[in-house]
Amino acid sequence: MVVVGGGPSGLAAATALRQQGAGRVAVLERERDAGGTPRHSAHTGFGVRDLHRVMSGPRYASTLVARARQWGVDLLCATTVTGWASGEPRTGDAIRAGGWTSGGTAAGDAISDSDDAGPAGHAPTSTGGQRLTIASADGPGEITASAVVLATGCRERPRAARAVAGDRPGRGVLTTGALQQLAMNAMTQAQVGRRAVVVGAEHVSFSAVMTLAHAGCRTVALVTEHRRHQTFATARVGAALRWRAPVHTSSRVTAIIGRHGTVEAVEITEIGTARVRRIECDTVVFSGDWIPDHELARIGRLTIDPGSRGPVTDQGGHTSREGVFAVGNLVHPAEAADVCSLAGRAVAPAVVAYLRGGSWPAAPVAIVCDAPLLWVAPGAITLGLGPPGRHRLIARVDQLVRSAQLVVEQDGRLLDRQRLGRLVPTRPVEIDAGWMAGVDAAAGPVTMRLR
Amino acid sequence: MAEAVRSDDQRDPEPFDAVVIGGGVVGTAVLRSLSRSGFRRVALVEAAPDIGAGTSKANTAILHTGFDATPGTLEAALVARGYRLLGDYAAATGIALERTGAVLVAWDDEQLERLPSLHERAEANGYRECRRLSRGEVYGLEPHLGPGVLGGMSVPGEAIIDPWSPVFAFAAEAMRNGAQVMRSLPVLAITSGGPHGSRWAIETPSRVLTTDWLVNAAGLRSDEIDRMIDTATGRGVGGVRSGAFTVTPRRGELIVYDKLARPLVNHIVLPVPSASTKGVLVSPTVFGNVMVGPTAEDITDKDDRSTTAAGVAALVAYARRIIPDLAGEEITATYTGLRAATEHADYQIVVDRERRYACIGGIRSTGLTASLAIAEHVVAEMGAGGERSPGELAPPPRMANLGEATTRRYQTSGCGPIVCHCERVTRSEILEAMAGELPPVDLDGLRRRTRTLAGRCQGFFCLADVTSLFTSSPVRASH
Repeated sequence: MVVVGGGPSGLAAATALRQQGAGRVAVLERERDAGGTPRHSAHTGFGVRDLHRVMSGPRYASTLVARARQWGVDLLCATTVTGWASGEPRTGDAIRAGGWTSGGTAAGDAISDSDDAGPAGHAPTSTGGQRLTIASADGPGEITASAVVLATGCRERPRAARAVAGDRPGRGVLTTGALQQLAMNAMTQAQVGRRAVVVGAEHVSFSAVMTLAHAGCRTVALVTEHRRHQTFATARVGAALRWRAPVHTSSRVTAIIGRHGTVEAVEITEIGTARVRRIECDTVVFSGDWIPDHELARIGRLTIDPGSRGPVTDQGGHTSREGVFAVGNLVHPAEAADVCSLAGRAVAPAVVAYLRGGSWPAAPVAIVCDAPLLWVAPGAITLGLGPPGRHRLIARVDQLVRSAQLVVEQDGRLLDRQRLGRLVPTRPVEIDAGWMAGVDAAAGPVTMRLR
Repeated sequence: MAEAVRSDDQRDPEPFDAVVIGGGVVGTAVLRSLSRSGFRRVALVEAAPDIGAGTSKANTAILHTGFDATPGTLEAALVARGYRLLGDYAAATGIALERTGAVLVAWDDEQLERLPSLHERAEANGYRECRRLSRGEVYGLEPHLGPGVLGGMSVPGEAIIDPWSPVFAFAAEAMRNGAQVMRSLPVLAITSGGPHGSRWAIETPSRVLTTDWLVNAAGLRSDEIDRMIDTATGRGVGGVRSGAFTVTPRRGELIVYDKLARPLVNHIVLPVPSASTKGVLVSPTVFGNVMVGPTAEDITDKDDRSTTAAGVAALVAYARRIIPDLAGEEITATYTGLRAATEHADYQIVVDRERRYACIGGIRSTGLTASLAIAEHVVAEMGAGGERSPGELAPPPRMANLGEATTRRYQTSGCGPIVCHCERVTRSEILEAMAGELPPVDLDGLRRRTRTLAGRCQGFFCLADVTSLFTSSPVRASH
């Protein structure tokens, strides 16, 4: 058993696999230390939902690592999985006809990286196993496993991916992830500037404000395209009082100014009025706007959800490729660390069942969601598997919905109605999975829409 | 160190045989040729903190055959010659190069009608490998092209190259042959008639360099250097000026798509050039990405290397039309290069033996390809006394391979840990770059030597690790 990625979801999955009797379980982590992004989050609040304790990010990360070790998980750090030695599977007719082709939004078809219409067939079977190419400090190698759990997490879109124009100063343009590491490292803390503009106004943006304050940098503005911030009122008010950081709503950072190696200012444009203003700063932090680190999933030709851009899974974490599971923020970018850890734990029974000779779901029922729903995870349902972890699906919306009612249907038949209340973009939308038992394997995709 | 400031001695006692102004791909190539010539004391001055950090770092990274050059021009001759020289040099030094070939695509009737004349032009330039392609053949070569292809032409010799390493290779080789490279040394003034009977005195903030020959390879500022020369020699006022050109920076914006887009493009995809523009190309890069650009916009500010919202949006729209599947891919980088365009179509190369001044101006888009041929041409014209014997010359330096087509360091036994995960750069590669002849002075310089931080996460995962490696390097600490 190989788990790719040693963050909360990967570590929790590996630990649960050992607890449930899996044989050798290895976690391959490309960084020097396992633990994932919580390692760099100095603030508290980690571990509530999975460990029922409250602790700091680094403490939480080391707790998960220690538990994995305790249960006999092999942790291979500084080991990068570079690809699939077992070759690229053909995505043939069997998969196309099944549920793995759809999922995601109704507007766009699921992304498939394959265009070679090969003969019908699955990825290598459990008997053949999965072969991964790896790179470690010793050099290149290969590793074979009966099954693979992808837990490669997600990252924030940096400046270029958001196509923000202007100069390209070598210093001071960061993501929250980069900022946290700079600020926590005594050798690099001095690299953080004095006046920052934070792009985004979601939870992680306010976390960036805290980190900046910790490093002695004042946040002079948060800028969001949305009509209001997306964090809890307490955090927003706290930020306003404690750090006096104004939030510019319905605005966009349209250019970075700084010709001489450092940031001098940003130009922000108000959407609608097109009013442009300049804010002097020496640091710009691009926060949130998560994208899964989906390289292995993509080159392994897993079916990708066009909304989340993570692999489509069913409630057991099965992907479109036999023997490959996906879990955590690779599938739902981005949830809190404890939610990822619980998701990792929840994938274990399906993996163990597969290792014991269970069959791979061939044609799950896809879930298709309509705007303003962006994506829902899991994006497919395999009958007989039981509910997903925490008995919930996770979704996102792309705009504020004040009083949402969710309608779940299949082939015109109502499966469920749920009051979801107020939905905020970038924040988790949790959907109770009680209706899943009523899904018909042969009635086509399940649709979700808001009323 | 070469760039150490010697405040106690403002004037070098011994004049140089030649000083090159400008540490771009052309300047470093000339320095390399000079260092292999009969000239014994040669140097290069670069105004910026690092070499290769101006126009040379922001080109399209293509090794051109010169098939579409204007026959009979100096540019056509030097591009054709430089194509072979740089191809051989890349092989000798390990600079990444992939002979992907190019496909010229006609999207409308007018472009289709231009194909025969382009074919003839290629033949006139001595390039005989072009072949006309049917619509079906074009789609066969590039299955991801969008609808509307009418036909095309293949240019199998066109290649993609690592655009950053040639500058460092040229400089390293020159230094091993005894040349000096001085960075952060802007030229403030030039006077004619230095001490010790030397021809030129070059004034910089920290020292005055004296030299017999002066080579102007200042790119965007080559016209300004040229005017200093004319003033110094009394030709600027009413006399016949040597170069007589003005550089108008032509902004070229480019976008780079994520490595996951690389399978979408097999060749360099060129539009059929119109009378006014070569157009925007879509090309794989040796680093495993897909590049789209450049735009072409004349501007006035030589320091304005910003990208524009309009430029990037236009490139994104163009990319999606040429290769619709690019719409689903992330953009890893956007950048701007300023071509040193002049009012003349051809290169402006003048070697004045009487004044001992070589002016290399107007090198626009083809400078990387032509660099070694320009150097060979200029140094020969300077009469530098032929090449020294091979026994006296340093061999071509072995450069770290930055390309995906051949083995990278992380793919070798005992490579040590990877630090930059997106680009898979090992710690050992970073430390070697830091210990090189011309160590980087900032993270951008480290990027151009190793690919560190050039990838999709832009430091989300490794910025602190890279920064602490960079700041703690013993080489850096001594600066």
